[in-house]
Amino acid sequence: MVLFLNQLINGLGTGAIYALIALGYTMVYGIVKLINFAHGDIMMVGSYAAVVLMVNAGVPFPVALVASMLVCVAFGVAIERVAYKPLRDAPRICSLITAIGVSYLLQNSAQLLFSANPRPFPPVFSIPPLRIGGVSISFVTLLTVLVAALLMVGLNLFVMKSRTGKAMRAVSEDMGAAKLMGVNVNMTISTTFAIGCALAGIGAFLYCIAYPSVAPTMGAMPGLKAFIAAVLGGIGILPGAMLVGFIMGVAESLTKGFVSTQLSDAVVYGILIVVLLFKPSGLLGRAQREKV
Amino acid sequence: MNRKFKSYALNLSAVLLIFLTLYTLIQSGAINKYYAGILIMIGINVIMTVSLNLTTGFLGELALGHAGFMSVGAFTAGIITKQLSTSLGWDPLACLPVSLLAGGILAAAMGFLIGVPALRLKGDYLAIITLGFGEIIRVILQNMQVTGGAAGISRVPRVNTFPLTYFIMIAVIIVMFTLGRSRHGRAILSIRENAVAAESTGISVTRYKIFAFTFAAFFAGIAGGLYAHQIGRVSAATFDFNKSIEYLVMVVLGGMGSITGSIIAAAVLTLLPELLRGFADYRMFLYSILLILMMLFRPKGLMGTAEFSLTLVWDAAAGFLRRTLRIRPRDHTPMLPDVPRYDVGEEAPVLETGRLGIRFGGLQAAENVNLQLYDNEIVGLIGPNGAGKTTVFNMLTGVYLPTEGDIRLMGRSIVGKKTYEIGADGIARTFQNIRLFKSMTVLENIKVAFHTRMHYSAASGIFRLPRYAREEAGIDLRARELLRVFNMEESADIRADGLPYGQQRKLEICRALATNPKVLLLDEPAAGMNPIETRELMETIGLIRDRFSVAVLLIEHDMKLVMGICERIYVLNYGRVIATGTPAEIRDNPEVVRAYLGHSNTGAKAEEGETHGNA
Amino acid sequence: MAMLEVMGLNVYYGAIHALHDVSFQVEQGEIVTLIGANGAGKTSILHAISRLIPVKSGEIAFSGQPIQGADAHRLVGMGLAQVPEGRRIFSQMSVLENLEMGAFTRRDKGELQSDLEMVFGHFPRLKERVRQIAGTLSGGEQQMLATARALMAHPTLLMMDEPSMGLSPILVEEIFEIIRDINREGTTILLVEQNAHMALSVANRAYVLETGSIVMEGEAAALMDNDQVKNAYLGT
Repeated sequence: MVLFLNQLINGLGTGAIYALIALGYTMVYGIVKLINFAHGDIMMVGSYAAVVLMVNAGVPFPVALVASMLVCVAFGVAIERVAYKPLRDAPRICSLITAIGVSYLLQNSAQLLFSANPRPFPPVFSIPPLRIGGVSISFVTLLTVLVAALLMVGLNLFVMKSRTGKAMRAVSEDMGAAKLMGVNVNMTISTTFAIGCALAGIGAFLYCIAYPSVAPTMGAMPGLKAFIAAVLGGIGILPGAMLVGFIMGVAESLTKGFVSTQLSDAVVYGILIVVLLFKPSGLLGRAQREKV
Repeated sequence: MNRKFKSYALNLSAVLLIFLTLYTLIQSGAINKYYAGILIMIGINVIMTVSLNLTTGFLGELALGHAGFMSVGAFTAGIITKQLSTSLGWDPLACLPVSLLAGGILAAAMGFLIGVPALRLKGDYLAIITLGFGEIIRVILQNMQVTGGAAGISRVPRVNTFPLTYFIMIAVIIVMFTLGRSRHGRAILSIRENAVAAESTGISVTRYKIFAFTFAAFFAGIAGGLYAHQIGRVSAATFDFNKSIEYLVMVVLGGMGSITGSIIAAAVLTLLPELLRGFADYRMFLYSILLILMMLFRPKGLMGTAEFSLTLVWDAAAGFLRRTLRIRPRDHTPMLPDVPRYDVGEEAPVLETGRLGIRFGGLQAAENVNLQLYDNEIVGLIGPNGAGKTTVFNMLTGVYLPTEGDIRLMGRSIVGKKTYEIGADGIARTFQNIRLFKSMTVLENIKVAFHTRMHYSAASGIFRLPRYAREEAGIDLRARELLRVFNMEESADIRADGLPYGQQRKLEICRALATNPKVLLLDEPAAGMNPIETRELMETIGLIRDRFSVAVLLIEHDMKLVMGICERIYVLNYGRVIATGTPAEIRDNPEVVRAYLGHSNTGAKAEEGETHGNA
Repeated sequence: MAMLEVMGLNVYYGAIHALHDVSFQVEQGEIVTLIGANGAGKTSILHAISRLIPVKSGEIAFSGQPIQGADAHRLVGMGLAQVPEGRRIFSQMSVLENLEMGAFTRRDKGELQSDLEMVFGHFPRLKERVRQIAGTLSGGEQQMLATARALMAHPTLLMMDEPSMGLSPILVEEIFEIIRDINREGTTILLVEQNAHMALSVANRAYVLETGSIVMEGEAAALMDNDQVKNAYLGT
């Protein structure tokens, strides 16, 4: 029982990180319909920025957090302008391949700059874990779950209620019609990328606190998981992405604890397939059939 | 004929020449062992890319797990060869046919397994399922005893050779070309172009999706087998998500749907890392920049969808074989497509609905709809927007399952049948928003619709057996004949989306007629047409009545058209039939005037409208 | 000064020359219609004015100001709105949200309520469905929503592309009645229509377009009696 609870809590912690990255993924995915394979690598960029600032420049943690979020935003917006914007009218697979190219580019640039050897991430919090009976809950886990939940609620409100949020939804449905309403489409898409990448920046910090090692390819795995969470939750549905992020984290952790470490990925993908068989438009997605 | 023969000869000699050149260079040592190995890897990657192009380029579904099939083939073939040669003492070379084939078949079985969920999914959801399956395959292979766990298997006899890889590659390429030009290939293409329209012409989208996935997986399995016998070691970790992405990149860079493009891209991208060896540290960096620039400046890939004509090679080879083996030239007279014998009773309606209705949640979209259509009759179905007219069409074609009542086509109930079955049974339709197979030619659009009335198998199509030639010649005749009836023969070879609007509507009607329907449903054919175009449309519909034995049911808001050509009219409002009768009766029906026609279209005024051409 | 002045407009789609030196004006308070066959370039003209497609050469002036270099999203604020062909409502958003999108560029949010009342006056059916998801509306209601959405921007010039497409006869009458009303209340209208008879009967002036060029222009009533127009566009 205690082992179960411990694994469950671990899983919630990992899941919260997946969820957080998936939120940013879903924002971009839902509004621009772009599978941004470079999203995980933006997180990697944020992690390096944080390490350089905190270790090499001795910047205090809160400042480093804000600064590395800004670095992520700058990268994200620049990448969108240079690499994705010219392909807006091209078939979707072109922007997908470009995103893969960007992902490789970021990884290999990081490797050239920082070498392939991982760099340690400095400890940030030294708060002892909370213990209830034999169950221990680390501060980071609590913090991650809380931050992910708050951001999800906040973002959802933003997208549903705010003026910019409505513009984003309009752009996602019909770019041309949104222009006719006076929406600045380029600006709106940049904003979407900025928000998504800022979230990746926060995710980078929480990820690095949980797994304190920074490497050029560190973004690939969480990026892939976040992509799965974004699709499985229902395209563009923020609570869906978050929910699936948590489910994946918990499933992974429980499989590692009770079945086998090697099989944990297979279990996650198995869940993915089963869910899609029963909910072909994602967990919280509305079934949409093409109108004939 | 002479020109055709020349290009046969040209292609065939090109294939042989390339082979002989490379082979001599390898044998003489001018190409060293290392580079010969790279040439073989190019061959293997070409097979992978060409086969992935079938699912991604031809079928149009993003597949993110192609390397998974390759690994199944590699392990299967590797293990079989190892076992046979060590425990039974077979010559490893003799094991190859068995093990390669087994690898292909097992991979195909996995492809089939993935194709089955494709039943319900499309787009990104399907893509992510393929990703999931690919990863599951990898994890399972890494955890099985027989596949050697995480370490994989090693010491597979390295008996693969350049000629073997080369000729398997050529065979796969040719099969892809011939498949692409058979009725089965056309069916796959039509799904990419417009799945809804494909289904309505009688093509089972599900079956062809599974077919494409299985087929592609088979070749990936073969490629895997070659790989195992080339490298000698197989480890599941090699075939991860990134490997699948690598092949996807090759397909897109070559051009989606272009086999020639796939070949070039696979060759270039396999060679590129070798050419960049001098810049080892910057290799991936340069590759990624190249990828981005390529997409930005050539988003359609190297070749777009264009091809070199390689099918001819096969025809030449087949002809050559026939002559040397002295196979008697078989009957090549065109075999016309089936003409279904419809069993229509005298005076009995062709199509009849009884108390038909449907509820969507709390909304009763149609209720107690009783329609009768007789042969050679043009019947109108009119009513306000949102009255349920298209809903009725969707029930008749199996898109929606009615919650009440019955639909009888020539006396037999069709409720519960699939859309493609109903399409093959004799109901054809057009769509409110035109649904053509846009990037296919006018003639190909028509040929797709002959699908259910042809019988040659996929094997006949691939190997170009006489049956293929005869049936294809037959539908070519029929398709051109149909186009001639509608005065569209001259447009036969242009792309469907290059036609002007009115012609696109007409092509859609032609395509529907090519399925040889007993009932033709036209959904707002005059929408967006000006009075002149509408008049031409009226002539077209008149032609259908005169030349084809078919009952037409027509949804339309253009009263000049409806009143001008329909013999009877049903009026729908709030999902119920509120009136039925001749145009004159409908025009004077006060309820119809109030709900639908409005006062300027009543009695005398509508008469006036006819003379003045008011719609 | 004309409200809208188009001079020597040329538009290309790739190698296809879609509009050849198109010139026309719309005066304050008018209803002007562009008629022509499918593919003649009517929608291209509206898209070029709205800056949805690039213009090769030519000048477009709105209230005396050149707009051919302006950003698409600035035009609405200047008083230029469009009801696009095929409605293009935001089908996943509610009716109310669609209307709010129409007023997107306006800063005087206090007037939103009175504007809503104004459009509901024209389209009472939308008021009943204000919370409904727009994609579930019938075709006629969607056309009304698209028109109402454009009106929410307080345009001085409203461009309408095929407002009668796919509508039942009674709704076609209704929508043309509303076009007249909107015009009476002071909005200038540029109308593109296949239903040339209806279009000519509401318009003051008309231009006839053939394969990308204007081939005829004049008072709507006069064109309605012109034999060539009758033959080619009225089907009599």
